Amino acid sequence: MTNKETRIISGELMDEHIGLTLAELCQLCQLSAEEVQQFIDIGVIEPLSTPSEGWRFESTCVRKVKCAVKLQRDLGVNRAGAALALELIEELHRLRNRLKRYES
Amino acid sequence: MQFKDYYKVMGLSRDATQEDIKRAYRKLARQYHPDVSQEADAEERFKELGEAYEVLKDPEKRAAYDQLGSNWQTGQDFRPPPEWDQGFEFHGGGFTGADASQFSDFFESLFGRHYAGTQQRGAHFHASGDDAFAKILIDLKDAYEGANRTITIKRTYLDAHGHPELKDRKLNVHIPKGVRPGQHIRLAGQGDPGFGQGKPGDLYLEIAFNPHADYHVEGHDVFVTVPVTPWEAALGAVITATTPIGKFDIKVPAESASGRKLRLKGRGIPGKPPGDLYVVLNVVLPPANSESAKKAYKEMAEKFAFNPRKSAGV
Repeated sequence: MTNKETRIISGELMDEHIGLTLAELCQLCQLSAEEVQQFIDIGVIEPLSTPSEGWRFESTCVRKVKCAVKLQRDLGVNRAGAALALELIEELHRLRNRLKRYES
Repeated sequence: MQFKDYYKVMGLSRDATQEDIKRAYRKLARQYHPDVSQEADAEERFKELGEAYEVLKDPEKRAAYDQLGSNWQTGQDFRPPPEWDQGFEFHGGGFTGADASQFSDFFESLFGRHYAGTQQRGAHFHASGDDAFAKILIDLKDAYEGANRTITIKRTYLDAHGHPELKDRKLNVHIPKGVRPGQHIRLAGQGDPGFGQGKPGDLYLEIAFNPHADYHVEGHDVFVTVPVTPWEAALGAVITATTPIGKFDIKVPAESASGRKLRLKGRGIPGKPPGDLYVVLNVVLPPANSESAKKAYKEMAEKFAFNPRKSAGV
């Protein structure tokens, strides 16, 4: 192992205070701004209502968009279908977690 | 290398029509999609399914695969016969966009060379490397205090001949204090290597928390479940709650029900502003495992005019 591999790397924490910019969100989702915009239009993700100039997004939007993209690609559903499936999946996870807490 | 029976993977007979194949894929994809399925091996099954569909949905690849014959069994040791694909032309028809690097050696040996190495790279070709993504599981304590964690990521290197090769790579990463689930840490220059003199890409680590029986996190708020006795909940009490940041004496108000949340402001994940810590009460009944305990329950039955099923009309 080289020296490079053993040192401790300090990265940059994204969305530390006020959310991701549209550019950062696109980079993390590996999509173009137009593609991300389509997910905003259909309500898969929502920009934060912050007074700062330009859109800001919660970090959790990345997972949502990536999941929607996968659903579209893998199941052949359209964007609206992916959005619906995503909402139901999230609800399902919330309920499963809640159930787990009550059952434990 | 092991033979893979793509028909078996898709639950189809060898005379299935292209329509059957498409239908079976759609159905199984919904069933085993890792984002949807609860089954432990969903991801594995889904990968296998994608690979099977990649071959069977394309009449050219399917015909080539079929002429290997039907005597092969899943898992049987397999070498492609020499010139096995003679007379077949692959046009790479309709790649699903599935991640072909995830496909098995079996697929690779049959169809791989038709896809790999199509990029012609001249001696003076330079390009930045791709960004890489990985998920890192941390403990809640790490978010409160910050920590150094060693992570292992799979990474593609190009060997001396320019062939991609998958290797494990260990990285020691600092987890900054105050991280929330879903946030990303950018490690500049730690992504895939560039070509020529191109810069390497960045590595993005998505933060997720290890599941814990008593804690869960929503945004920067932390919820901790604390068991209380029925009399503590009913009469009120000061209890000692064990939380991710140590023990706290907490005042339980009288007439608390199970599920009641008590907020400790600013004691959630640190930050500007910090999150809150919620103590969620869980009323636990004492077991009736002795004569005196049974007697106490009987006395309660006599003294309370209590019917929890009253609203159900019984």
